[in-house]
Amino acid sequence: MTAGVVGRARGLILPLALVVLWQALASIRGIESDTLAAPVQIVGALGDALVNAEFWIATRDTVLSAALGLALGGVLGAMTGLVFGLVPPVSRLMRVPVEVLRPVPAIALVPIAILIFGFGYALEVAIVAFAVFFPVLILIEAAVRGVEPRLTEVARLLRLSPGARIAKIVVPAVLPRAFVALRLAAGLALVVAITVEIAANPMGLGARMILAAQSLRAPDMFATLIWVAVLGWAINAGLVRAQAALFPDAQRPR
Amino acid sequence: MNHRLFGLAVALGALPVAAQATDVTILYTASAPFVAVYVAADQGFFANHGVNATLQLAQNGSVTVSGIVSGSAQVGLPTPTVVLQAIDNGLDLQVFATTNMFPDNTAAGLVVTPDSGITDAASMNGHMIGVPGIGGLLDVVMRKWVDENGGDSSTLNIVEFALPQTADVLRGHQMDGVATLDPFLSRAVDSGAGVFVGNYTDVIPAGTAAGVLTVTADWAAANADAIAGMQAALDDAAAFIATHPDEARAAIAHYTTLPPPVVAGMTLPNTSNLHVTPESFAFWQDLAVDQGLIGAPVDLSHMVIPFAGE
Repeated sequence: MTAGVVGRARGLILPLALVVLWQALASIRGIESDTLAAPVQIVGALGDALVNAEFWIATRDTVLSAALGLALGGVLGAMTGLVFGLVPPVSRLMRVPVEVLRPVPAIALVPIAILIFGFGYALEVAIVAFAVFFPVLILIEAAVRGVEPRLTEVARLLRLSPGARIAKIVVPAVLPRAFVALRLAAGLALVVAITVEIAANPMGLGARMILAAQSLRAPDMFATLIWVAVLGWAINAGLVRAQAALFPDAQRPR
Repeated sequence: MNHRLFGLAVALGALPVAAQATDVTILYTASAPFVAVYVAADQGFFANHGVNATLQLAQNGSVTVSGIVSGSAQVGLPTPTVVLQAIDNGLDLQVFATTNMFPDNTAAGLVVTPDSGITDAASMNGHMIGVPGIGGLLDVVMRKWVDENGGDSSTLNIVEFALPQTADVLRGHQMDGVATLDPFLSRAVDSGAGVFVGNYTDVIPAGTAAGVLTVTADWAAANADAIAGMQAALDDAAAFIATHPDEARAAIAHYTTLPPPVVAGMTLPNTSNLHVTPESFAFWQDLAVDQGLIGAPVDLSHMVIPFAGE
């Protein structure tokens, strides 16, 4: 236990030393820049932000958009992946459209999406959903294909109906890998939501960050950046814990 | 019959400003020259003239036109060249006022690194010059200034940079010079990172519009009262700014979120006259045609909605 804590603390030495060095340089030489800030200023700006209602509204907007986009794109992607995995002819038929659309960077859809949805949640949710859809589809399709053939034989032996085969054999077998897809997609959803806000959508943490940069408030920009990193870390940590609790047998991801 | 319909239309148009205020979302970027709009909102001038205005901040000017075309906002504040290009590409946009008028003594100009060897337009040839947006207002005006002052803009290596990094790109010698404006320009010069070479907005004739309040023609046709109300509110704001510079600066700090010390050092833009006529855009039209930004001149008399009674 103690050894573990010490081991973990050792990992913090280098980052902390860099922060102290950064602060020392900033204090001694002064920062001659409108785009850099000293750690003490950044911590102060983050402290101010955390007691500001607008900051929490921005956080809610970003997280909600990412979550709704993840839900929409994830569910559609998983259902499509399930169909593609179970019915290979459909997968072959759809391969060209999927492979043509998949490489389109989601963020490139912003100008068209603004004209369709205007600013707001719909714009961001749609783009996040597009970004999340394809990776989930591919991971789920591969997971369904990878179901242990003997399980399928058992299903046939028991003369399970197609519905029962999906519910009793395929879905339980696929779930651990579906959860990995969810973790991957959750990270992607947050990245895309923030990017949409930086590029166009006037709400959320991305918009807050770019406005701070444009208005010469570098400490506030870095404070928002650090907050986004904390959010991303917390979401991933939560999902890893959920995974360990839900699928204790599966290999624990690190 | 036609006369009676016409009479009805005139009567409807002449109704006093309706008791019910029109909701208008104004999409703006965090830019100090829009001070008249900020003051009109801050001091309640829009509300006094029957307009319930909401100011919506956009990250950059590139979303302004799509914002009003999609109906997310009713009024946008793009630059004239952007409006001309949008019209040339088939969008039916109209403008009903400017945010500030040239000559504008807000600092804007070319700032170079101290050791770049650039002292005037003629000595710029062959250097790398940063602009906030290629084809944007500062870019096209800077090129014209170079060509009119003995340089050759076609020899320049023009690249894009972000305005807030004015001082940093010069300090890091990433570029030889940048076309920039305040408050970034003053900060770069005051800190010694850059040297001021010239104000390229000198080439813009007096009476030329700067930022413009832009709407779709469809919205304008359906909301003539709201447009007249906003025009009257801007007149009120212009008069207020002339006598209340401190309140004007407070409005800038509020809507742009620039730090108050930065705003305190800024020159206020020229808001003495915000009325637009087709002549206010003649310079931009010629420039846009010369530089190939638009294929053919646009119909300025259709584009401009004059102030009531003009």
